[in-house]
Amino acid sequence: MSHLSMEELSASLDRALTGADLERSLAHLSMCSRCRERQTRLALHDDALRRLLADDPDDRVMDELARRSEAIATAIVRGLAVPPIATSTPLDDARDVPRRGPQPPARVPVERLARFEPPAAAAPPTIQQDPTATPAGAGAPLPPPRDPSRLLRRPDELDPSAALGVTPRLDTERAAAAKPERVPENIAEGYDAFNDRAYAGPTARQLPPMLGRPTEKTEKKEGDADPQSPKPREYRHGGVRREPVPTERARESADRRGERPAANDDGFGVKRKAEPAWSRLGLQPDPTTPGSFRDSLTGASITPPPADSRRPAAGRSPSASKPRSVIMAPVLTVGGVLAVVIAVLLALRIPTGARLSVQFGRPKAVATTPAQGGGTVDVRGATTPTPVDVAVPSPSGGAGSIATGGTGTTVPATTSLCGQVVDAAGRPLAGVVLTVVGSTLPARTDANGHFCLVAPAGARPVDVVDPRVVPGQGQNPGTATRRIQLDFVAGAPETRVVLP
Amino acid sequence: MDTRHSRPWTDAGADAELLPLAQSGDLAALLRIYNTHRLALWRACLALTRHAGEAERLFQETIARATRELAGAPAGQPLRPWLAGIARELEAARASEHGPARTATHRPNGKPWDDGSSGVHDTQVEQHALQAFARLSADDQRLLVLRLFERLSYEDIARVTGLAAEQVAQRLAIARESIDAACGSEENAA
Repeated sequence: MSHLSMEELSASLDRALTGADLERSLAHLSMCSRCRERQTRLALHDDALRRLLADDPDDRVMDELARRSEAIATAIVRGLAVPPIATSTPLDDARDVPRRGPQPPARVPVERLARFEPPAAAAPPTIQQDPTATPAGAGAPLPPPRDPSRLLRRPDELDPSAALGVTPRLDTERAAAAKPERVPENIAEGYDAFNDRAYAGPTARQLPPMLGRPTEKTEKKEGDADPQSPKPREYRHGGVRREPVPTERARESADRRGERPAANDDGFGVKRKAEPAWSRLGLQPDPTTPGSFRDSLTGASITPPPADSRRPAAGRSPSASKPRSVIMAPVLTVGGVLAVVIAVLLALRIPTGARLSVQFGRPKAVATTPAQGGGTVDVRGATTPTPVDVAVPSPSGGAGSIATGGTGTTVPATTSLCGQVVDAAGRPLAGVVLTVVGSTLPARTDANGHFCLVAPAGARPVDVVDPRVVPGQGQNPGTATRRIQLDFVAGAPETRVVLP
Repeated sequence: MDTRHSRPWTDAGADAELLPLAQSGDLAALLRIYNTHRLALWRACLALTRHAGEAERLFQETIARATRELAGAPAGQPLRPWLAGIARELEAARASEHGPARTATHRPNGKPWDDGSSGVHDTQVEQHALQAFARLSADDQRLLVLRLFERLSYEDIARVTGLAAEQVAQRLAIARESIDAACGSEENAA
């Protein structure tokens, strides 16, 4: 017996085998313990490497890495000095010494951000803590504050020409004129200097993408100086964030709450005098008849209708006097319930028109013999799982296949089917491989012949690989794979598969 | 086959639209490209260096070089293989000059190996697998990363690497055999 090659084992692990190759490998693996152990070992190594590669760093480290890479890209695109590279974990010191050739000059100390607790033996003495780093956890000590002179400083603040109204120049010229290039002594200084010169953060809108020159939109924003717009906040990394400007709707809402000046406010805190309704209609009070008005144009006397008759005349229903929230509440409630029901139906993937039958009371088991039921056993409604026999046809042809029944509820979701494989004498068979046709997840019976398969609900063809049959040998020189039909029904009892 | 992760490696997706903008000077488009491939690039760097700190340095060096050589980026093609290729070239150059990185003394997330977060046996298996992985060639490491972590099919790996699908299967088998043999010898030595 030839064992599976490493290529076959590897492809089997990757589920890249199909057809006859897959059958052969499954049949061999069911028999050969050596190949099974080897495949298990390979899978173990795969899992270890996958765990290792999936061991992504903390989100904060990734964010820091993204911020630094954005700073690098921004500096290169804008033609500025590239910020020095810094890492959150120590570098491999041995790699800074070339294996051959002249020795390099004294290396720059490796900067390290205070992200993690340094390993006891791994922390090299040259590592320093970056004061700009945020602490790793809530209990970690806060870093020392930065130099106050560097905080809240913008690139245009560094440029005295900006305050004098001089025509702005490019960032590169501005930075060169602002102060001479100075080699930073450590990463914090280098990064601060970089921030001070140009980088305004990934979300900043103050600087244009390429030229460092304000766009028209930005100029308009800065020039308008809307008194209602909130003051922009500035962060240590130079980014600028504006608080959201309230929408018109939010302003109206604030008006109703009295938090803002009313609509008739003239904008200076002085309210306009409320104009009476008769004045807006062009009427004047009739001095001769109290309660009546006179048209200022025609001079006709107008008597308003009684107060209780005004509301129906306006064409409003009595319910219109209720607050809108009282009317909308039940509507919203019913709509919400409908939305939840639709979401549940979609989650269960119940097709449109499917009928869900819910049976209350004590269910009755309905069982039919193969002769009566056309070769099916219906276990619909059975509360106690009853083993159902499934006879597998012999290669030479024999008894017809019997599949489990149970089609009480049509739920086309994935269901699991568990059962036992036995031989003709009723003894459990171990190592039998069952694969739902179209699936790549085979199931293998344990020492007691038990198995569990998962497939979409419904009748599915299942390939059964008999470990007792060696292809091309013995009295049965056919294939070790036989195909049976199994019904995957939610809550179905244990299925018994009989291999003759 | 789980192909959820395969699209950015084989399909250009938004890269095809963003790259011309980035090449014309749109910094936002460039940063969006990098943000899309950030995690995959980190994993590629970690696989190439087997060292968290070296991976961070390689990541930043890759970004810098990719930004400088943006004009030569493959138009209309996915940029993830291009970025991974740059990282691979940079690491190969560093390894030829300074030697390969040593196996890390702690996990990529900064925790030491013996932090008790996993069983002793798992830790040993991981360490042995990592050391065996480090002895593989860069191409084989890349194949394993694409297969084990990115879960690409053999056909997708072939498209990314330029190899035939049969060659991918053979080289993956050889790489696994090497790791198996190395782990076996390590365990015997232990």
